[in-house]
Amino acid sequence: MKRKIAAATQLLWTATVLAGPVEIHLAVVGNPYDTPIATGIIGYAQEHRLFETEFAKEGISVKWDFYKGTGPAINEGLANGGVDVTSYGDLPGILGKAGGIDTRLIVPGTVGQNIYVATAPQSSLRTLLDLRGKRIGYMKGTYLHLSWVRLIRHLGLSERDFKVFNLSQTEGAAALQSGHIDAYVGVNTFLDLATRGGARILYTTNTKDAQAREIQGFSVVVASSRFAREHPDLLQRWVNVYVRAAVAVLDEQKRDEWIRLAAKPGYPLDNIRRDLGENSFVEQNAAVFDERYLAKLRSGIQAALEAGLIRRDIDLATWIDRSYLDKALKTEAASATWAKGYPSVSASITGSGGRP
Amino acid sequence: MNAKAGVIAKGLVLPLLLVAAWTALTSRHESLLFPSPQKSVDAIVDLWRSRTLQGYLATSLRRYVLGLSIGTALGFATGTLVGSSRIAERFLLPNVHMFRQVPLVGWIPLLIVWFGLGDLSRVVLIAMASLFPILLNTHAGFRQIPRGYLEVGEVFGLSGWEKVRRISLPAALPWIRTGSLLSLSFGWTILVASELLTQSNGGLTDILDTGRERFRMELVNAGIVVLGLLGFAFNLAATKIWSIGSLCWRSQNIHPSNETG
Amino acid sequence: MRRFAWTILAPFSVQFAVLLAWYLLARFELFPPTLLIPPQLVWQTIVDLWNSGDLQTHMGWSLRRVALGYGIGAGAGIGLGAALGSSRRLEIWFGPTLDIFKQVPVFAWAPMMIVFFGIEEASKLAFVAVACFYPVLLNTTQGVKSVQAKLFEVGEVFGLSPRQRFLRIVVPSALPAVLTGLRQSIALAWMAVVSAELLGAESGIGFYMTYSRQLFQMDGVLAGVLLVGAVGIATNALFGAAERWLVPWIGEVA
Repeated sequence: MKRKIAAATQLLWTATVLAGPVEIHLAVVGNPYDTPIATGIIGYAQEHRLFETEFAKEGISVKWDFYKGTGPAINEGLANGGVDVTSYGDLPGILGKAGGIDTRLIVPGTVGQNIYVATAPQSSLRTLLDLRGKRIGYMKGTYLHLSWVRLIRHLGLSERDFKVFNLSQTEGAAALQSGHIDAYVGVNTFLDLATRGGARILYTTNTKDAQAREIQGFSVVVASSRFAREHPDLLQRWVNVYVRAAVAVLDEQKRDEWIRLAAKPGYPLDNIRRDLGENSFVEQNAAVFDERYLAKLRSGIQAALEAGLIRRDIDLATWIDRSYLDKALKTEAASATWAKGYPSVSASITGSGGRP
Repeated sequence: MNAKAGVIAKGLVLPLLLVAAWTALTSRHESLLFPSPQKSVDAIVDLWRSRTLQGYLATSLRRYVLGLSIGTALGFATGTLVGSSRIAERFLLPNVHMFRQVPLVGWIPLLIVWFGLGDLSRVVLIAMASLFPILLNTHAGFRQIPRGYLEVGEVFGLSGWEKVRRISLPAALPWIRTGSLLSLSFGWTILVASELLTQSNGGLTDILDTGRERFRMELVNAGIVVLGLLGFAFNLAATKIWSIGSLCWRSQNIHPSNETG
Repeated sequence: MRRFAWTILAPFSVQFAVLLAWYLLARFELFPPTLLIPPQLVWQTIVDLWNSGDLQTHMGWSLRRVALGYGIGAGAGIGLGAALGSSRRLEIWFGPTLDIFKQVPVFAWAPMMIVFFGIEEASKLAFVAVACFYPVLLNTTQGVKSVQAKLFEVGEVFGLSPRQRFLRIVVPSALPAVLTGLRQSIALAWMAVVSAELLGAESGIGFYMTYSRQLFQMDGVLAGVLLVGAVGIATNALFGAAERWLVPWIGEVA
């Protein structure tokens, strides 16, 4: 009986205005280790319970929901009101928005997410073109998917030129080793697998090559419009906390701390180090809507459109809502180097996937 | 009695032989695809000790019982309705048949988006699964009642509802029984499907999932055995309850429909 | 004419009401629009799929798998069912083993098939075959067993040979049950194909539904559900018609 009531309430939640949230639901993207740990700036905030402390005064609790199905599952959560704020990948964000989920892009996420196209160690496949017509695995609807699609477009190929299987990281590694697939588009977990001889990296964006870097993934931090509409004050405070955390952790001196946080879910430290390479994590995670980030966003949407992953363009002016971030930067990030020279609130965001 | 024991014994020879052969073969070489039964037993014991198994069990059972109760209640009520009213039958039955043809698993993505990743989607699916067998069998039970019986009821001046209660239901009982057992087993099957096709759900299929993901066959085997045993246990329990609770018509010539939906 | 209206129109009225409700719920946004796509958009998606040829491709793969898996599973079911039904000894020795395996919920076999055969065709076909096997087996066994003793006596009286007995008594007697089993199996086979495709595939209707879901294209998911349902209904109608044609002496059984 209790369950039926809970279920009915959940349905109502999506359709009506509530008096005030008892909880703020933050969705955390899944990882191959199934640990409910966020990484990056939000990970720092999670570790130091910054959000909880901020909202504890009014008795508002912060709930971290771990989504094993990563981005696509989080979209479903956003659609049915189970998720209020989340940081997730470029493609899921784009797919959700284009698919009609009403969200606001409130903070830019990270850029420079790498893909690792792995094959079995004894495989005779050497180049990407060799993979044509072969069995490829990846997690559909994630940043890996978009980066892969952009990669093969450069070669004049599309998804149809391959036999594509939707597999998680663990499934992919197992399938690769048992010979059930020929290649898998993975995250940095394949680095140490390759070192141990369990796989071979056929291609990676983790290079200095400009074209490779162009297709690296990025992430977006979105809030459901419903949450923004009902609790703009809470959302503002959430963003304030985010910026505070960013100020605390985005410091080149704290590189080791950053790597530790990134590895916390269970990734081998060495993987994270190699994945980061010589890049500046401060640059990659700077919480500002600058041209660097906006260009990535536009090209990502463009690529998704061209690949037929979305059928409608996204108007950035209706998606991005910089008001929260701008206020937060003023009050919290006065000292941060990465926020210096940031344009004032009145600067407008224009354009969409196809147009600058 | 000896004859019956003999039959049971003969039936068990093959399974025991298979298990023995499997154990013997795998004790000699380690195989990834065919781990020894001992490994599966160990895995189950571990899960029991760490109290994970109990958690899985409670979660799966909760969903199952809830879905089953809703489904069989609705199914029985609707079955009685279409069984006793020609009008209802004309309107509803073809649609029931049509709806039944839509594979339940296809609804899962939709249910998840609508009801979230919580238990509601699975309970709804299980309810849908257990609804049809009992509905159809109850209907079939009603429809096979010889006209004569009902005419007797009319002669005695029974009302529509009384006719159902005193003539139709008892006459349809074997069918209803079959339907309920089928609902039970199909509901269990769909519980497994609903858990497998939705992710990280804390139910018994997590054993299977972990086994498949990490390529640990002994877990997959263990999971299959556990699920099979439980299904068997439920069926046995339900059958016993039926024999105790009602008369069981045993007729050589009556064969209840085996619609599983 | 009145009869026609009654038989055809009555059920359709319910479907029409459902369709209307769907349309209205979507139109007046009583349900969030991302969650309930209006029927006309879903229809458009189906039309687009047809025009692009994708529908035919995916459907082709799914149907191929059903046909093959069903052929294997149902064939084995009939063979073993006939054997077990006609020989009490076989039933005693082999029956319990089959019964034990029958207890396993059919979907539980899917992970095992995937580990054994991988994610390509073999595992799906194996899974579908296992799924269709039991209904056919059970119904065939029962059908063969239940051939009434009286009828055998008739056969003896008429001096029929074993072969004639089989063809003229056993087969027609058992046929209704076998056909019931075959009909139930095809529904199960279709469900098995869709689930196998949902779990891991690169083509087929189930794959299309997963793909739509990953890309948050709910109209695709709904289109998939409709298509899957349509095939299920069509095959059932087909089998029902075949049943009526082959065994007209048995009345409609649900």
